[in-house]
This record gives sequence, structure tokens and C-alpha cells, in this order.
Amino acid sequence: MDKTQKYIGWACTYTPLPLIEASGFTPYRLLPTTQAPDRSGHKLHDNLCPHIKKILDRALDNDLPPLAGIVFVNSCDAMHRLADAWNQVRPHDNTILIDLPIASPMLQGPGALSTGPIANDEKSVDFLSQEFSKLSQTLAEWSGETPTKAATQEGLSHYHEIYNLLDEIKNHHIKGTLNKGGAFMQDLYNQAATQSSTQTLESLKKCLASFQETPSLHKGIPLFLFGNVLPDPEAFSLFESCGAYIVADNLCTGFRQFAAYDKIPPGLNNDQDVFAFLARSLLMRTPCARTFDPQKPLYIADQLLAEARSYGVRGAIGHTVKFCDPYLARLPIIREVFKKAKMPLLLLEGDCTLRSMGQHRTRIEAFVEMLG
Amino acid sequence: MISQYFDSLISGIEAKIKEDPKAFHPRKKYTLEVARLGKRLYAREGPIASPMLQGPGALPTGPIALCGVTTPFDLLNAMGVTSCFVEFIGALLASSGTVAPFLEKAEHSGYASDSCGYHRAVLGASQEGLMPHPDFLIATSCPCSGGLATMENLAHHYKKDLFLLHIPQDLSKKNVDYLARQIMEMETFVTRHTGRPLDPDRLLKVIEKTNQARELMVEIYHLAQHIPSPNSGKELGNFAIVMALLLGTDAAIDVTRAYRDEFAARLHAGSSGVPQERLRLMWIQNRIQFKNSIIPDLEKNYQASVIVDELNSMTWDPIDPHDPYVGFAERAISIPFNGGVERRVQHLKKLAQDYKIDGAINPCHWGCRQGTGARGLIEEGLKEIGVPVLNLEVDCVDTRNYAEGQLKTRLGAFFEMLHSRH
Repeated sequence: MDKTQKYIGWACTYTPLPLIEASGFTPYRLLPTTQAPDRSGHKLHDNLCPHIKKILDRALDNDLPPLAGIVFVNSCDAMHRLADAWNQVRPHDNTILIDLPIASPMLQGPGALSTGPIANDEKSVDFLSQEFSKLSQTLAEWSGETPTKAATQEGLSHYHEIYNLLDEIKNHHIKGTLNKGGAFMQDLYNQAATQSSTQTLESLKKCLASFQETPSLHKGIPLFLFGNVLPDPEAFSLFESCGAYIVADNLCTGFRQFAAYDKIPPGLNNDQDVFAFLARSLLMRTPCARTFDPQKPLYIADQLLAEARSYGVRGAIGHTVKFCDPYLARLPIIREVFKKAKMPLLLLEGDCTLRSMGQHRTRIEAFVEMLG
Repeated sequence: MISQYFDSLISGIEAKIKEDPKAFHPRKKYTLEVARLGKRLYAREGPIASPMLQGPGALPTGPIALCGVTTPFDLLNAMGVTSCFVEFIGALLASSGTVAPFLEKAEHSGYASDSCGYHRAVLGASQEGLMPHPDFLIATSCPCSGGLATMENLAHHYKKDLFLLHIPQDLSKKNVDYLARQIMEMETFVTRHTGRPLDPDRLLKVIEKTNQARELMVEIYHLAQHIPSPNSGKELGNFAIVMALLLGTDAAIDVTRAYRDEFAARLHAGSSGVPQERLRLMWIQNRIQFKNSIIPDLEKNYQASVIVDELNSMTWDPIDPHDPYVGFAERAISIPFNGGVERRVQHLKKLAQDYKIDGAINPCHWGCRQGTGARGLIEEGLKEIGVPVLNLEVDCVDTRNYAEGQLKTRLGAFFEMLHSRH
């Protein structure tokens, strides 16, 4: 860890990272990778997802860098319970919980069940803007400085550039010309989520500067990976050792973390514009299963299928952590839609450890063999 | 099938009333109204050819909505919509002993057995064509992520429009106004689907009835705090959460008045809900919905009485008839399951103190990340005021893994400990 940085912990991809940077902090993702003993069960029930339990284990074991504060998002019951438990086990930490609307404004138009006007989407954006305004004020209190317009613009600009650079590297990976494997990509995502945007930009630029396009060496079966939390780079090596090539992912520990910063519109002249932009972008980017448009229920299945097809893969793997209600309740329809479309799909359930992935080795190998 | 079940239940209770009106227990009145609501919800069992609600071939029951827990049901009652939160159906299926095949159906369709039993039950029932057929759906973000996902699945299954109410976390003015505006839009959404605009005069009358029922509920809770309590373990089970469905109707006033009168009469007569009450208990979250002998057992063997449930308390002010949307919003935000666990713990502590509770039972409904997730935090919170909590491991809907013997052993040990403190 860089001791000159002041870190703010975050755990959910709906966290507006540029606002944290604008206040002089470094956003540090609390990844559920730890050797800390399993003690969270004393505070939370065993049926809560291992993502948040591992993070709480880190808090209980002090397996964290010094944090100036933690930004939680009320994205699902488990995340809310994490915020509750954190406040109890580390009562002296600065924390804030951002409330998150459910409705995504993304899916208006053809295909909607209803043709009538439902204004949920605009209100969602307004509501989340106000939550971000509250966050910005809180961060200013924690840092003792009000973010300047220049700092905000720089935060936005940095994350936009990170998006572009990651996208460029990702495209080389998709084409197979990067030849560094999925573990390399995941490592980049993890670094980008836990270090300052300046450091990330530096390392991404270095990566691209040293890049030499070479013919694809990978021989694995091209697959698309979706789901929630899978931050361990070794998991991607495991897929490859089973004969798979994860071309692209839609994971909340993958590229999706940065997907909201693809476009920074001109004319963000004041804080309110910035908050509204971030609210809209985060609600509009490829959603986590917990966010949906009521006019297109379970559209996530069609979205994932379209995304898989866009990469020209031969099949898909859905990986979710146990007890994740938002994904568990949508998997039956995802399976149905993929089956109808004759897109082979393998569903795996994990607990954020490589051990659980190792137990799936035989199934992954069989799936790959079937597609071979 | 389900409609016949309600017919039989209604005729049975009505026959008993006719036989001996004076022996009529308020719980029977409550059950009668629940059965009547069930009958209305299932009045058009089987596939619906047309959702049109007016003109020739109009459906006899009026529009039906499946909803989330914190929907303003009195507003829907004012608009002539028969509605319930979907967990109500899950509980009905469990209490009628018919839930297992629906749970299995859901699990065979890919819904994880780790998820909430209420939701698995209704998802399975929808696939078997045994849910009320909705004209539209209204989902609420409170109390849980699992409930929202279930509503999204049901909207997809029935190909019906879904309206979403995002319930914010606290009662700030900004949040209340935000939710009030959503509820106004909900009214427009409902009107668009029923073709019946809200009649302001009818709304006024409905709000008056809501407030009357509210006052009676406050009286009931106040009476139940008496030592010994006129309440007993089963009498107010599921009470407040189900009464929300009846708010704004005469039925809500009849039921609450019956309870108030019965409890007042018991106190006047010097009798208690459980004879020789020794231990006063609080039930956290929701009841075990299928038939079981836990409550009678603890009343008989330990003179222990569940005199208060977590949700049986008044957390909202009377609704202003001239500005009801703000009142609806405040009510939805105020329920103990909303917001952070600290607020919930404070609520439980207050109940424990008001009712002079000796101990609390948390069934820890399996699959509930919202309610059960924070059980360790709740246990520690109540421990601070000297109230021990017994955490059980029960799926309150799913009978298949229910092991009553083990539960009774744990309850026995818990009550021995409580007795030793007296």
C-alpha cells in the first residue's frame, strides 16, 4: 500500500469513484480476498453471501489498509447488512450508506411491456444525484476540504481515461493478441480498483506501451463469463487450465466496475451536473441483477445473451456467489433464454475462494469438452 | 382448488358465528376476513382470457394486484383493487398445508433452495397456475431484495405491467416527498389499468377508516402490555402485517374493535391470555406459518406467552386525509424492517421495555437476508438491555426440513435459563 495515500474503502460497483478522488482520497475496493479467519458468522447469519462475509472478516481481522472512511451502497440486503455490521465492529470508522434506486433508465422503448409513461427512471436519477451530493459533502467533511471544480473534472477525466485504456487492452485480449491470459486482465481490474487513478493510468499506459501485437496463441474454447464476484486472478488461470478462454466478462469485479465512465459529456459545469451525470451513468451501465427496468422484467437474460453473442463465443459461464438473491432469482430465466437461443451455459456457485472454484474443475472441463 | 378452500373456511366460521354469536373470538373474525380476502383474490381461478375490467364480460371481482409488502393497500382499496403482498399467499399456502409441491416446483425450475421459502412458494404456485391472476403488479424495494426479484419474475411470468416503489431509508423530508410523488404516480398507473380514476370522496372515507383502525390498533397494543397480558401466543400472530391489507375497509375496523373489546373485557375480568403467565416473550420477524405445536407447548409447559411480535406496533402517525400521500410515504418508510439495523434494534429494545419482556425468540427464517441476516447484531442489541434471544433455524414456510423435536429441546433449555433468572 502507498502510505502517502488516504484511502476510502468501497465494496459495490455503484460507488461513484470520481467523487472520492475529487475529495483527495484514493478509492480502495474491499475485495473479498483474505486469509482472515471466518468470524463474521457471529455477527451475520450464515446464509448471507460470502462476498460481504469475507469483507467483514477483513474488518474483524484488521486486514485492511488505514481507511479514512468507507462508502457503502444499499444495493442489496447483503450490502446493507455489511454496513450495519461494520458500524458495530468498527464503531469509530467514518462510514456512509448511499441509498440506491432499483429502476434503471436504460431500457425504455421497444420491447417494454407497458407503452405508458412511467417516470420512475428520471426520479431514480434525481434521487441518486441527491445521494451523491450528500456523499460529496460527507467526503469534504472527512477530508476537511471542499472539492474544487478542477479536482472533480480531473477525477472524471481520469476514470474516463482508465475506461478507454482498459477497453483497449480488453479488446486485445478479446482478439487473443494480448496473449497474457485472463488472470492478467483480472489483475489489472483489481489494481485499478485499489489504487489511485494516477497510478492506474501510469500502469495501464506502461502496459500498452510495451504491448506488441502477436498472433493469438490461445487454443482454448472462447467463452463469456458473467455473474457477480470473482476477483481472484487464479480463477481465470483455472478456467484456462480446463481448456477455456474467457474472452470477456460481465462481473462486478471485472470490467463492469469502470463501465460507467465510457463517455464524459461536455458542459458539466457545476456539481449538480456532475452528480446527475454519475447517477445516470451508473444506473445506465450494464446492470447488476439487482437493478432492472420495471417495463422490461427479466430483460437481464436477453442482455447477457446479446452480450455473449457480440463476442462470438461458443458458450457462457455464469458464476455467482452463494446466497446472492439478486442473481439466484434471475438465473432460471437466464438459463431458459440461453437454452432457447442454443447458447450453451454452465452455472457455477462459489464462495469467493479458489477452493470452491477448484471443486468445479471437473464440470468446467466437461463443459469445455462438450463444446470442443 | 384454493377458492374452494376459502369457501369452506368462510362457511365454517360463519356457521359457528350463527351457532353462538357470543362465543365469537376476535381471531375468528380476523381469520374470516383473511379468508374473504383470499376468496376475492382467487375468485377467478384459471386462465384469464381478457384483463378488461369494464363493459360486457367484466370480471366479477374487479382488478387484482400482486404487490410488495409496503404498498399503500388502503389507496388500492379506495380504487377498488383487490390486492395483497405476495408473501401473504406464501403464508396461506403454508398454513393450509399445501406448500410443499409448490416449493418443489420452484426448485425444479431452478430457484435455489437457499432462497426465501415465501418467494419460492409463490414462484412455484405461479407456475402451477395457483396464484391469483394479477391485472398488474406493484413491487416495493422494502423489505427485501428477494421480494423485488420475485415481483420481477411474476411480472415476466404473467406478462403484466409492473410498477416499482423505491422506499427510501429514512424519514427525511426529501425522502418522504420522493416516495409521496412515486405513490401519486402509482395512482396514475393504477387508473390507467383499471380505467377508474380515484374518487376523492371515497379516498377521504377510506383514510378515515384507516385512521380509525389505527387508533384501535394502538389501544390493542397498549392493552397487551398489561401484566399479565390479555394477549396470548397465537392471537396476534401475523396481525399488523395482514391488517395492512385491510386498511381503509370496514373489515379492518370490525377486526380491530373485536380485539380491543376482547382484551379490555379480559382485563376487566382479571383474566390473562395465558393462565398463570410467568414468562413474557417477544417474537422477532415473522411467525412459523405452517401448523406446529410450539406456541401451545410453551404456554402449557412453561407458562410462557408471546405477547408481542416485532411488527405489532404503531410506527406511523394518523394519515392526513387532505394530504394522504405524505402519510402513506411516512408509513412505508417507518416499518422496522426498513433502514439500518440500528434503528431496528432500537425498535425491538423499546418493545422489550414497553412490554417488560423476559426473552425473545427469533425464528431466523432461512433464506431471509434482510431479516435474519443481522441476527447477531439484534441478539447483541437486546443483550444490552438484559433480554436474551433464542435464535432458531427454521424455514417459516417450508415444512420439509422442520424438526420440531430439536426446536423444543432448544426452547426447553432457553426457558429453563429464563426461569432461573426469575
